[in-house]
Amino acid sequence: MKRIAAFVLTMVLIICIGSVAFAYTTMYVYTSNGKSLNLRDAPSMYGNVMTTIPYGAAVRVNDSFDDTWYSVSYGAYTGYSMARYLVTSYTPYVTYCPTVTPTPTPTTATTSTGAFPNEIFADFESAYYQVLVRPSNPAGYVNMRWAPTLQADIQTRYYANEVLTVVSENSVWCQVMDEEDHVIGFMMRQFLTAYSGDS
Amino acid sequence: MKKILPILIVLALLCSVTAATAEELEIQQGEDLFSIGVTLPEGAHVENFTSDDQFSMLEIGFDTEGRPSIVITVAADELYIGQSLSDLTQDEKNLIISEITVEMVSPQVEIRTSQAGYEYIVANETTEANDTSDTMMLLDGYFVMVHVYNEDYSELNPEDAEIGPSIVETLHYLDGGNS
Repeated sequence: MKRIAAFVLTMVLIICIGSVAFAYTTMYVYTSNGKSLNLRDAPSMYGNVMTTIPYGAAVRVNDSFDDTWYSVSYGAYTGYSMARYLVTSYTPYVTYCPTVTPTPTPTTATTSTGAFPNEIFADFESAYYQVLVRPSNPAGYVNMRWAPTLQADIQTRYYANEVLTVVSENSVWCQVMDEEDHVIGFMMRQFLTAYSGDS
Repeated sequence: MKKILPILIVLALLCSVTAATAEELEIQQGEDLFSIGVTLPEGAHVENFTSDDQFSMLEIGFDTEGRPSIVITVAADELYIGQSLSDLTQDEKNLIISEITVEMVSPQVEIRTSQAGYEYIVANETTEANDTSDTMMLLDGYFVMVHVYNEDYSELNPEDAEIGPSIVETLHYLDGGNS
């Protein structure tokens, strides 16, 4: 009987700790154009704007309303902001500056059949967690490729808020699996964001 | 509980047949505040659509074999509320171009203006690993993207590469929209 009580108590504690951990997550505003982010009184583009949160400001994320909107506290205000513009670490804004058009790598034998050097897979480490696809543009898509390089053939494409599972990763790429369609490939990690799964 | 509230995005398909049998679509997003119409190329039809409160996607195919796939996406963006492409500075346009082409190795990009006066971006890539045509318009804070590609990502012929711009050229506000 005591064992059951202890087990139940432990589970309750684990759940409470998990809830508290999410309830007080600190995140930072990260907008692609360096502008402020709206804090609205409802989780919708049609909610009234209560205030704007400047780029880089720390906010308290209270809850995840859905994949698109988080409940956010900033100063005296509590409302909703778009999740895609909140990140877990502060990222300085870099003003857009034109770059030289990249020169394509020679495309000799760069096919899906594995003609890439093994070195590109060398620093991958095992992982297992779910992510949401977050294209750089909200209407855009993210390529899943056969290998972790932009020269690799495209396997398929994913659009905003699709859920994938990361099975290995390095600092730039994630090997992701679509558990629904049983497809596996590589995506740039900058287009993936952690998924709490409690939408 | 809020999850079961009526979905904010309603996508109505009006299969009005024109003289050329082209299909006209009405895309209505965010209750009734953003409502546009586009005309598909002859022989194209909607195969599937999905939507949530911020994002709608139409998957379009052709009746005949050997034609490309078309995906039209519409998404609202907090950062550009009420703005269209022509309202943006060149740096802001460049930023959007860099977002669209971020995964392209050798993109060819141009900004065009539709007959109705809307600016839009055409970004194409022709490489061994990727052959795609993306056409992007920003209208009153909503991105409308037409993505054209062959299922095997093989080379798009010049005619198919112009499908995206041809669809965007037909884009118009509908009565009740925020024109």
